Amino acid sequence: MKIPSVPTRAVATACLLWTTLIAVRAPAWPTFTDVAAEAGISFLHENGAAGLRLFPESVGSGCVFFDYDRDGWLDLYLVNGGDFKGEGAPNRLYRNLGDGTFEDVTLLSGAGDTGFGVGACAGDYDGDGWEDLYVCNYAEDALYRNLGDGTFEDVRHSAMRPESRWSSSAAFLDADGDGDLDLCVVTYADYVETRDGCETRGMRVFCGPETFDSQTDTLFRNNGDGTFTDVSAEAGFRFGGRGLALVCADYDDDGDSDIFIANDMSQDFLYQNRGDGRFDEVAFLTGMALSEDGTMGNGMGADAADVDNDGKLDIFITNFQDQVNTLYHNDGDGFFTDVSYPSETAVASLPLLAWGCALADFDNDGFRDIFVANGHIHDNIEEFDDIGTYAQRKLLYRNLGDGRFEERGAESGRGMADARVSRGAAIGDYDNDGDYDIVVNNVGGSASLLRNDGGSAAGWLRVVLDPPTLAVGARVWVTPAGGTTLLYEGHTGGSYASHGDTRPLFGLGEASTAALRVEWPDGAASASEDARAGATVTLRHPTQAE
Amino acid sequence: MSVLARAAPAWILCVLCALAVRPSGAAEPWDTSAYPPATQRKFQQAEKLFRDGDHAASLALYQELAQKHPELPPAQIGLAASASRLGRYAEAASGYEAAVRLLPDDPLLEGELADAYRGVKRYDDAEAWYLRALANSGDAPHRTRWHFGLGLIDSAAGRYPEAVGHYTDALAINPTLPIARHNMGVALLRMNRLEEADAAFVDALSANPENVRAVFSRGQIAARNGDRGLAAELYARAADLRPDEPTFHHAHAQMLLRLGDAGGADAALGRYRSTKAAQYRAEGREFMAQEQWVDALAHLNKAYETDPTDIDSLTDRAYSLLRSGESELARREYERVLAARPGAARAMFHLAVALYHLQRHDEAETRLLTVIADAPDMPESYRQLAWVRRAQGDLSGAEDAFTMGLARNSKWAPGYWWRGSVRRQLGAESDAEADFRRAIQLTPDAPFPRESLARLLLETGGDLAEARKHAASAVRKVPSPQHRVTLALIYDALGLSADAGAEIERAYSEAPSDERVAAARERIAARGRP
Repeated sequence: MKIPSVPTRAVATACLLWTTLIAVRAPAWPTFTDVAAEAGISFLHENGAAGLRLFPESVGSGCVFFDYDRDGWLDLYLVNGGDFKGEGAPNRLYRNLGDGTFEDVTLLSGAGDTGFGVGACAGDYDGDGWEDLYVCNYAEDALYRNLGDGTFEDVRHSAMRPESRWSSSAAFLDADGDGDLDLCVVTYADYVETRDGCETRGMRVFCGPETFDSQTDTLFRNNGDGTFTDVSAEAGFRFGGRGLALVCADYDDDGDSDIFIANDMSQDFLYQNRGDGRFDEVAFLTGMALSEDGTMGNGMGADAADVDNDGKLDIFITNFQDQVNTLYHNDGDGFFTDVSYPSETAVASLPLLAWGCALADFDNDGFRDIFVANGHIHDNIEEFDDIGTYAQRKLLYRNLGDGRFEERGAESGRGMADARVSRGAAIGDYDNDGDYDIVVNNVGGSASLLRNDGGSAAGWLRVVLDPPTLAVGARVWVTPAGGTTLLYEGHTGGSYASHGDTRPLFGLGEASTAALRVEWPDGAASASEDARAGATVTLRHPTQAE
Repeated sequence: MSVLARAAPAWILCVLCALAVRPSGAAEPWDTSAYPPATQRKFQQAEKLFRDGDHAASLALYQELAQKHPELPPAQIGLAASASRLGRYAEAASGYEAAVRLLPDDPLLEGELADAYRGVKRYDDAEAWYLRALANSGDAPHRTRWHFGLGLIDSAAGRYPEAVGHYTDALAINPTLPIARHNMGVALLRMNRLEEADAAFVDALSANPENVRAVFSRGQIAARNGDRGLAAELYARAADLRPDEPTFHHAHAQMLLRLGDAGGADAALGRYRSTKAAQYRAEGREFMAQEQWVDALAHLNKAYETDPTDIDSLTDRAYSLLRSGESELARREYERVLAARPGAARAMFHLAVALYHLQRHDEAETRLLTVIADAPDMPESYRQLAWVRRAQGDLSGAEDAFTMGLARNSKWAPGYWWRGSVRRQLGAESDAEADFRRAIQLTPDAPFPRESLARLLLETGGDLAEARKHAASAVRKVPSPQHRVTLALIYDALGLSADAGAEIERAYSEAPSDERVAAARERIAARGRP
């Protein structure tokens, strides 16, 4: 058969052009290596499992990247479980020594909370410039005030009446726009042990969350004097869910922080801020309450960011096995559209049970990628399910820049490909080399510190916002020379039970310079022209003296 | 998967029939003529049960046959086909595995085995057996089914291009298979190939205009294309075709919101909530029927959370809580039920029961008196009132409660029995005896009043022959240790030591730690000693 030569050449040329374009658009994809052991992270998570498969043992715990000593290096706080009916295992604080290693300073710091811990987040609630810690426990939560001298004071009873129900995740936000950080705490199920004890095919298994009653979430208003008041009812937090994760984001661009809560086997919530700390639950009205087919998902983790660089914050939710992780595109008209299938993020998640997640530009090409930590709840899943496994690999989706993603977790280094029973995860550039690393808390095992190797091959720009209190809710726009404007909105919490780096890191791709502008939560603005790639730029609020 | 699973039984029946109707020549491995007539009759009986749709019964019979005659393919196939019909795919797979060992290279059986593997999500095995069936089947028309099965496996694994390929192969053999066209549309939709997906759904609808899933999927395509008006129209049509399916109402509501029709959206959302809650509630009630209260609660929680205005779900939830021993939570939920339905006598009664369990007796009595006033024909209210009073030591009050109930219904047999028991505690033996006799008169087959009367006669020096008659009757009906003790003591009183010993030993073997049993055993043993 004769093959026409011209079309062949045309096709070949097109292929070459396409390959070239891809090569230009696609910097080297990074690999991730678990360096926890060599970095001195000896943390071992305990879930108190004693063979009975009691529900609280299944949820695992989260982790926090924050710079508690303000030395410019991200420190690490790992939350631990223990025996939920008895003594909890202490949480651990690791100080970053700046040379790739960490030192366990738990005892010295006094932040080793011994509740049955689930989640934590960091935020400078008292405005003294030092980031404090809130810890979510199965029983009473804890608030640790950072004293600025390397130690923390447990102020849970003097500063507030702490949440005593089973809480999972928390986030600091300025809900009422008064300039200080309020606190939202998400509660999980109202556990009743007498209801526990489920079986499948004659085997004891963890019960589903719907076995236990749902609970309302909590909003604490910062009184401005170092104390908090529970204002949940007046703020409109009157809906029961089984919350596992939350993310604060101004999805409707009206200048205040809204709150998205991912619920496990309850409809998800989207609390729209009226601007004064009172909220309306609008998940149904915006298309976010339920999956596309109208069923309740098992929301386990959540993050919000602009994944398609259209200037709107999109929302990503992780879900249970056989449900897809959901990517909601913010349409900008008050509605979200589930684009999980069109974006090609759906299918890879079906056999996995997903928890912590992050929308972040891991290869610094200017498009946010998606990271997902996975791990089943059933340690005996292989005995009654041919698809599920207890330990699971992670997912890492590369953003192709055209609304689609390509899942590359298995080809992104052993740290990403190795199967673990993961739960909470946080991103942060702990080695300050210009790319996002990841810490993961694994149920009943050692933590993973996934070092990003190669991500900083492309250009990057880090922005430090000062003061940290006003960084929460601030919006940063970066425009790489000749490129598309990128948006970052500062928030605490997110993922599952975790909290990541609050210093925005922008991928500049091939650009060597960028212009940046910050809009602070109070409406003030700061800007910097011609920031150089590979630099860390500190932008101070106009009221802050140099 | 579910579509094929639903279609499978017809094929299975064909296999079964094909095997059953083959000439029973001696060379055929499934020939049952050499077996005893009883076995042959069982095969015929099992096949009839299968054809009549009683698959649980046919499965039991085929299981028995397969155990006895594992070498007979019809036994294994019948077992597998029945199990498959019941959705018990693991058992179906075992049956078909045995069948393909007995009849290797039979493509029909290989296909059935693949279906069963798919049912238990053993996709790799299913794929291998579909391919084997295809390789062995020549140009047989049922190849379409196995291509279709392969398409389903690829769809489940998210391998949509491959799935489309298999559906195309299926359609090449049977172009009028609307389900294959529909599933191909779904795969194309997942791949965001909207135009081709829409064409597939249009084709599926031309074969069956009421293919509601195809209508819905066309709505999804319209939504993705930004044609919100058409999407809303198609979603509304889907909802009209299947008004009990919440998915369609949800999608319709979302699209109406986007179109700015807040009122319409609100109504559709309401329909979503009520239909979804009804689904969850129905699931919950299945568990309630089996008295699996925690499982019931899980579904009822979802029902009530989906539609907080659904008082039926709340009522079921409250009842499940009560039955699972969570009295305080049950009380709170019944308070909410009664706030919504103030005249609900049954809810008021159960609230009283919860209060009784919480030892809040005064409140329980108040509630019960209200129920009795509002719904005087609920005998359990009088009984519960009696128990509330008895719990406070007020035996006369308990007697009065039963008397009230009996005044309302003079044929309330348990009321006489219970009142007789209370009267015995009050020492009114002759009144008690009259009550027991009246209860027996009303319900001659009930063992409990007979046992009570027997015991009364024994303990008050009454007619032991009559006592023996009643006690023996009670044991025959309910051979509980308590009934046996009474009979044993009567035997003992009658001097029938051997009978007494035998009866009390039976009671003791069943309840060795029961105090009454132990005391009676001691007494009978002591009397037997010299």
